[in-house]
Amino acid sequence: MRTALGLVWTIAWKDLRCELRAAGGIITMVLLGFLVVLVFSFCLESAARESASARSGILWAAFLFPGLVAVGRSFEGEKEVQCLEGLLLCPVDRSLIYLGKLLSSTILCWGSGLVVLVFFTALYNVGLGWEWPALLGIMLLLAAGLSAVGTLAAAVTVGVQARGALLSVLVLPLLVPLLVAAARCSVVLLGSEPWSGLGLWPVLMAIYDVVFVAVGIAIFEFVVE
Amino acid sequence: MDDLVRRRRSVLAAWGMVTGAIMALAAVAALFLAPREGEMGEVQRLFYFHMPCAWVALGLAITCVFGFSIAYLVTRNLRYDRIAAAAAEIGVMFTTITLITGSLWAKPVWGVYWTWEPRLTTTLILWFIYVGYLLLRWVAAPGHKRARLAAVYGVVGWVDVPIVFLSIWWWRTVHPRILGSGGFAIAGSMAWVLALCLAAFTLLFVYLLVLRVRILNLSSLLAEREAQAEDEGVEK
Amino acid sequence: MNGTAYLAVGFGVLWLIVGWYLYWLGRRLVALERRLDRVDSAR
Repeated sequence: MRTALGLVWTIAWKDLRCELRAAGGIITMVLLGFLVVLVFSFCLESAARESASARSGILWAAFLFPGLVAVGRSFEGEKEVQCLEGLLLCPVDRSLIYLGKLLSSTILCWGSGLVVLVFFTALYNVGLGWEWPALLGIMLLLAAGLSAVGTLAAAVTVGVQARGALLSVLVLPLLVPLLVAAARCSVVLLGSEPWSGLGLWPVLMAIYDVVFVAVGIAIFEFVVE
Repeated sequence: MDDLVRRRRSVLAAWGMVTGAIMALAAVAALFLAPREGEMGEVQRLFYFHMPCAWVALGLAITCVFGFSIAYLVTRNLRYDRIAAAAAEIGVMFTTITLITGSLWAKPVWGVYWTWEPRLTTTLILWFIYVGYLLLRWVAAPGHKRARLAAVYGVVGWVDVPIVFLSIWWWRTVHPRILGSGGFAIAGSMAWVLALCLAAFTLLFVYLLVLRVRILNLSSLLAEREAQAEDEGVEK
Repeated sequence: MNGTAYLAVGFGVLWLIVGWYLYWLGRRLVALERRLDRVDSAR
């Protein structure tokens, strides 16, 4: 008898293994993140590049582009070879499938975000003290929220035309609270302000994540019946 | 066309006439009868249209989208899906009007067309959510699958709105506030005019909603009848 | 521009949008009812 957690991990691991086998997708995502950092750097003058708010803008843009791609991939493989039907035939609660997909795309977003953050750190002299793991933590909260909303949106848009663009248009407005919070946190962390400036923003992000994971669990069965 | 349809049509016409009369009355009251606000002058009269439009868009329309999306998911009756779609469409229209009249009011009062004030910003994001909902309906083929997916997005969007407002509100309290709140005290006669305008726009919303739902119902009925006629033709 | 001009533009835009939408709805409704009549009478 396998526990629910084991089942979630099995589904997530299946997706991650598919991604790792065809590593082209991951490499493309990471390169996309690098390019966003570069393009923004060319747009800003050297004085503006020093400001913490400009740098957090670059960081989150460079995180979001590959993140949206990662989220969009989560049902792509299933559609191509009709695996979604197979997955749905499994004697498993639908909400566990949602959680598995959520987990795999969170790891994918976070992982590509981590590589982008390393690149960003090298280019922008980000302090390597406690700010760095704190930024990673904020990135995890952002990745989880993006995946919670994005997995639903990805399932909703399976098979429609212009899917990638539509997915972004559906997800980004919903993501505004998370982006505002992440930007506030990174301005504090990148501007080496006292950490009390973080305030309740990480809590807001955690609440957002919990709310949308709960909504996703409740509503996912309607998406894929 | 049977009697029922004919009777409904006359009820709709009567409702339209009552709505039109009250709208005209409200317009006259707001433009001429309401007292001139001391500080802002004539432009303050835009408030009597701006605020009811915001009420329709952010209050009525989105609640209808959410409520009828849930109703569809529970009952699987496509009629509810059509009501949610109509409410979203009317919501986009009133959100657009709210944004435009708000900007036109902000320019003479605050000196800028746009400021990242929480209510303004939330309205703008709500506009994107409504438009996303309509886009999703537009690209998907009609039927139960589209209704299900749209309903899911409708529910998720509704949950998002209060969190958006909260986050923008916090964000603004962090930033220095350069602009005043633009508030003013509502005098007694202003409250009467405002109440009249709110009633008028609520009636207008219901009228538009009924009209739009009727169109959606008729066009699905038409598609059904045409398919039927085709089948009969094949049998002959 | 003074306040009255802003008021006039706002009021105008409001009724332009609502009026256009009403016109569009009315036209769709009339066309649909006509087509339904035609389908019904053909049967």
